[in-house]
Formats: sequence, C-alpha cells, structure tokens
Amino acid sequence: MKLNLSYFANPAHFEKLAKFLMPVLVVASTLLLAYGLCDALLLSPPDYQQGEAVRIMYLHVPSAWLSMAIYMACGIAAITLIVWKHTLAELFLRAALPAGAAATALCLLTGMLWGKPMWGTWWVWDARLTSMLILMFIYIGTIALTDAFDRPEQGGTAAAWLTIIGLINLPVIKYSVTWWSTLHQPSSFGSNNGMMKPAISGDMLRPLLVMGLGLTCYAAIIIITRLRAEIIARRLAVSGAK
Amino acid sequence: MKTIFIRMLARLTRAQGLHVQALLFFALAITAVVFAVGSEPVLLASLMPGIAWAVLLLSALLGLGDVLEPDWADGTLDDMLLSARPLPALMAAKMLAHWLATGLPASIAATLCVGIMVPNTASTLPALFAGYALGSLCFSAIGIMAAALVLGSRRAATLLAVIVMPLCVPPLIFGAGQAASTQMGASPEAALFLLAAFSCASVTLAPFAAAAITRMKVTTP
Repeated sequence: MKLNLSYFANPAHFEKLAKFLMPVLVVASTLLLAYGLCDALLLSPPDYQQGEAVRIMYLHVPSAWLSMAIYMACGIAAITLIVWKHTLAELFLRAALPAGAAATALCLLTGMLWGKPMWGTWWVWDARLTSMLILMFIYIGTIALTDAFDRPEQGGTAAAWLTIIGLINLPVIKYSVTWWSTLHQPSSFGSNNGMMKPAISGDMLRPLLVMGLGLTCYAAIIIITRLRAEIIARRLAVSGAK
Repeated sequence: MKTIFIRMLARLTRAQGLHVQALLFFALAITAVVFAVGSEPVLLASLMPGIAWAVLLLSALLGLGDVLEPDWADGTLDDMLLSARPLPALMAAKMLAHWLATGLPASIAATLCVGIMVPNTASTLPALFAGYALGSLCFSAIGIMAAALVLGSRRAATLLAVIVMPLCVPPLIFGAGQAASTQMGASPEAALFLLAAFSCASVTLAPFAAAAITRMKVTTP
C-alpha cells in the first residue's frame, strides 16, 4: 500500500480533492449537527446533579477535542513544511491556526458559562482551564507570528517552528499545570465535572459523539474554505509581484 | 567562540547597561507590586517568593531584542553562518551572555529581596537562589529561540512576550512550587529537581532550535 501524500501537496490536486470533499462534508455536518443538537438539547436526559446545565457539555467537550486535534494537525503540517517545504503546508497553517484558536475560545467561553451555575464562579484556576488558557496564548502567539513579516513565507516558517516547539512543550505544560493546581488547591471542583464520572451514560455519550463528529466536519469545512482562499490569495500575490 | 561570548557580554552590559537595567527593573517592579497589594508584612512575606518569580520572568524579556536583532541588522549573523564555528555553539554563547547580563543579577536581587522581606529565611536562601538561577536560565534558553523566531519581524517586542510567556509556564510553576514548599517547611528538593531537569533539557536543546531557525531566516529567499 503506497499512499502518495505529496500528490495532494500540489494545489491543483488539492483543489480537486476539495471540490469532491466539500459537498460531502457540508451534508455530513448538517445532518450530524441537526441530529446531535436535537439529541443533546431535547432527547438526552438531564444530569442527576447538574440538571439541564449539563447540556453545555455537548458544545464544550467537542470544542476542547477540536482545539487539541487542530493543534495536532498544525503540528503535522509544521513538520511537513520544515522537512519537505511544501507550500501547501504553510497555507494550511495559516488556514487552520485561527480555526483552532476559535475552537479554544469556544471551549473557554462555554466552560465559563458552565462554571457560573455549577461552581458559582466564571473562572477557577483549575488545571484544565489553565492549560486551555495557555493553549489559547500559544495559538495567539503563533497566529501573530504568521502575520508579522513582510515576506509571508518567513512568517509561515517561523510559525511552523513555534508550532513544533509548542508541540513538544504542551505535554510538559499540561503536566506542570496539573501538578501546580493539585499543589495549590485540592480538586474540589473537578469531580463535579460530568466527564470526570467513571462511566458516562450511553444516552449522554451518543449525542456527545455525534456533536463531536459534526463539529469536526464543520471545522474541516472552515479549514478547507480558508485554505482555498489562502491559495488564491497567494497566487494573486505572486502574480502581482511578477 | 570565547570572543563571541565576551563580545556579546560586553555589548549587553557595557554598551547597553543591561545588568543595571535588569536590577533597576526588578526593584521598580517589586516596589510597584508592593504599592498595589499593600505593605502588610505577613501578606508580603507569603507573597514575596512568588512575586519575585513573576518579576524574574518579566525581566528575562529585557534585552532579548538585543541578543540577535543587531547582528541580523548589520550582517554579522551572515558572517556567523559562514564561519567554521558551529552555529548552535554561537547561539549557546549568546544565551549564556543574556543570562549573565539579566538572569543572574535579577536572581541575586530576588534572593536578597526575599531574604530582607521574609523573616527567618536565611537557611532556605541557597536553595531559593538555585531555583531562581535555574529558572532564569530556562527563561534565557526559551528567550533565545523566541528571539530567533521574531528576527526581522514587525512588532518584535510584543511578539517576544506572547511567545515566551506560555512556554515559560513549566519553569515558573516548578520554581513557585519550590518557593511554596520551602515556605511550608517542606523539602524543596522535588521541585528543584524538576526545575533542574527542565533547564537541562531547554539549555541543551534551545541553541540547536535557535540555530536552525536563524539559518532558515537567513537563507529563506
């Protein structure tokens, strides 16, 4: 089995793939999100402790997944850019980083909205919240780096390096933050979290997974659309320079 | 190599007075915090080691803009790329010079600060100083990578802060943990070892990363 990934590094080939993928993704995300939202907001049972407020989880947890998955994807693209110097990888970084930052922001915001009724406060310096905030800072720094140079290629490569450094550092940050928050405050909050319970009920897991898949498709649509726009913008810039 | 190191140190200290700047910044920032939180001795005694850590991180940002940018602007960096010396070693020399010019004076100031403002800490000061020194070494290591990343960019100062701060979270946490456990009378060793491990990793890896990034910057058409 030989899958030639560099085939898709050619923007024309990618364009073909995108043309095929887009309608599929649009239909899939519409269906999944429509069903997922109904299931999450109406059909699934309220939590025995948290009541109806638990429904925020169906947006909160998938956005947390996405924020990390997109960072992973950016990391792979960054390595591809540094090692094989595919321009498409650089454009992917530009397209995907803001999407990842948006997912992180969504996760933080829904987390705050969830925290207010459950914990009685918008913000707690809990390990998860804090490491999410750091991830947000890393996203912002990397995005700022992509746009800080006169030559866009330099910004893209610098951002790729920072993404790789961040990829190595994120587990250490995650670990240290966990260590820090257990040092400073016992986990009196975390155990209220729906996901911390040993077994989540199947009626809640189903909408959660459907929402996760639907939002993943949605994020893919956003990223592919942004990537096509980046390709066009780069072509225009190159032809304008000539 | 020695020349580069000495030249770098001379530029940062004699020409720019970075060590004075670092000490002054440290004193001013600590004073500002004391004005902001109040001069209650008990409160200050409990906060001071942690405040010193935060100010140490901020003072590491000082001078990062002067580590690589002037060499990049006047073409010295191109010469360094062409020289027979390995680029990572040059980056390590610059990193150490930056640490000697900002991190070390600020660490001494931080230790003195805690010694003066927190009663009965004389016996813990050596461990505390070791923590500050190791931590600021990490900050310099991460700083040199960030300085290489922002070479030739607009808004370099803001970018440096945004890049350095999140990456410096682990040493900050380990260091503050060490300070906290010392205050509670526990052994500072566990946190100090973690800090030492992190600084070993960052000090050995950062020069290579900074060199690779700089090479990419100079050679990208």
